[in-house]
Amino acid sequence: MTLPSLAIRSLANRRFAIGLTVLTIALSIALLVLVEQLRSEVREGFYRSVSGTDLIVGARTSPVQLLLYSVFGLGEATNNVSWESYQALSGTAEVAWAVPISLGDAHQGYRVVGTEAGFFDHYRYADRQPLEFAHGARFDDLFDVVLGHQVARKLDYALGDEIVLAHGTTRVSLQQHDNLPFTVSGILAPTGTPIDQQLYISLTAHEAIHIGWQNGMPRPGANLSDEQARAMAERLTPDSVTAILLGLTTRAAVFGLQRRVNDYRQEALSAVLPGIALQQLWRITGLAEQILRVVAALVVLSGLLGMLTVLLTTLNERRREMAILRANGARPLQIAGLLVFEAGLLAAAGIALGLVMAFAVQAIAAPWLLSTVGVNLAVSWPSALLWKLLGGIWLAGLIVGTVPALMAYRRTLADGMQVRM
Amino acid sequence: MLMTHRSWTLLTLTLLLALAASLSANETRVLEWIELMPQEEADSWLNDSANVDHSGFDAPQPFQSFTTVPELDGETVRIPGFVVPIETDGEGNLLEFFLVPYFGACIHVPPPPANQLIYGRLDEAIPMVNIWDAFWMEGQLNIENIENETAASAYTMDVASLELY
Repeated sequence: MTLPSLAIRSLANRRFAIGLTVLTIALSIALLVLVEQLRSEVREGFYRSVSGTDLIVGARTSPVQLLLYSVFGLGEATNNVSWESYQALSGTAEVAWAVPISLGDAHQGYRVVGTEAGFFDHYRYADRQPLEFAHGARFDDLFDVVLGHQVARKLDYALGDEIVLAHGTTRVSLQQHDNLPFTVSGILAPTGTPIDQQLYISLTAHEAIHIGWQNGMPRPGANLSDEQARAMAERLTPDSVTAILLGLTTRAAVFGLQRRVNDYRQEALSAVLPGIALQQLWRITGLAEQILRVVAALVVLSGLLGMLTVLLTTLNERRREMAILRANGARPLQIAGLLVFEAGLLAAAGIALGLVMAFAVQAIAAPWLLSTVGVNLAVSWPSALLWKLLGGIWLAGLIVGTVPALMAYRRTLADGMQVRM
Repeated sequence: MLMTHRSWTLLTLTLLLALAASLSANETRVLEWIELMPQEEADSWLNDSANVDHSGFDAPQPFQSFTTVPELDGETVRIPGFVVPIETDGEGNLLEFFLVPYFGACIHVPPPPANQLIYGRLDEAIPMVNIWDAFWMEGQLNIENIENETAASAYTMDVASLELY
């Protein structure tokens, strides 16, 4: 019998303790892999979501907050941008396109974005990919609505379905705009970004459903009919929008324009470069990430120490085993090698099981993350860095294995066959 | 006699240093940001009392300049600066960015004019860099003509390397 098969049989003989050891290591590895994967996946998801937009303009606020509420549908806007500012901005020479967005309404917890048709022309995600329609087309009629892919899938909507929007962004809404239902005119193809979680209506429609809401609640008896709303919509211009996405004719003008927006005397505005705001966000979350990493590293360390404990405690019980091996001609070095091999095998099994566990958790958590944070978590192959880290942990496992190996090596020399049980 | 010996040593050293300097100059030219601004513009700007006016309520119109130095077109240069990420690939890796002379957190002076920015393009996306770190950027500097009313031309670079300062 060769040494490896001996080792495996010996391990199988102690399967309960060994199984627990492997499970301990696997849990620690799973935690480490999850922390690392989630971190990179969340970042990737955020970077995917905004591309080709040079500046985002909103009411004066922190860059991170503006980015989060305008693009990711996270948090609320503190204030709106006046329609006059929007028009002045879109008429600026450096601005190639300006897309306004109005927020504040929802449909069963999915955010409703009031925007213009230009949104579908100019919005880009991932590697500058334009939005595509899976079914139908952009809104044409006043009460048309375009659905993000997840919205249509989760709520099981098809083209032509009538839906009612609700006031406020909560999942359960008590105030419905039920006098003015919308018809689904188009469903977007999946993007893996917050776009999938939103509904799109025209700015005019966004204004129209809020006719009579000037005092913060619908005026009693002011429920407009479809025809009345249409008649009024002819003369309707929005007072304000929540944010404006800008594309520039010359990217080199971006800092100058940003400065002018931030200095705009007529209204307190903020302009942010999405790339910078994302980095600022990572700076905030970075500390928490580091803490998670340290915790994961400590857990891995305790997993390896657990393995060492098991190997050392079983070493005493295995003196007879070692003695028999010695009697059959095994050299002390071979005994030591056997123990290191065992440790390597345990560490490898733990790492493999840990990876499987991490992937399983990712696959299970992905839909939940998509619906709560709006970030699509693709179950991806671990990065090169992670593989190196896992390799390092395996090596650490081997090193841990040398401790009992060294002890066994010494003992077999010292007490050889004269073991008294 | 001792003096002459010493001066000889000095002379040799100076020569060696000059040689070393000329050798390294043969490698990549290290560019100063001010060199990106045409001389006449830099002159007129210096004469024009360079202080930022903080007294009035009206913000001074940010100094904008889209003129470039034609001699720099096609030169391979090395220049230090900060990265402002603009485009990423689908996976959050850096693809296109602005290299700027200072990090944009300073809001009491206007941003750098457009000819003090270089738009860097990477052939292959690299992992996202930290915007608070300074980098040496090396590559071929190009002048891109822009046909619109706000700008005439701007610097771009096919970035060969981007390394920590």
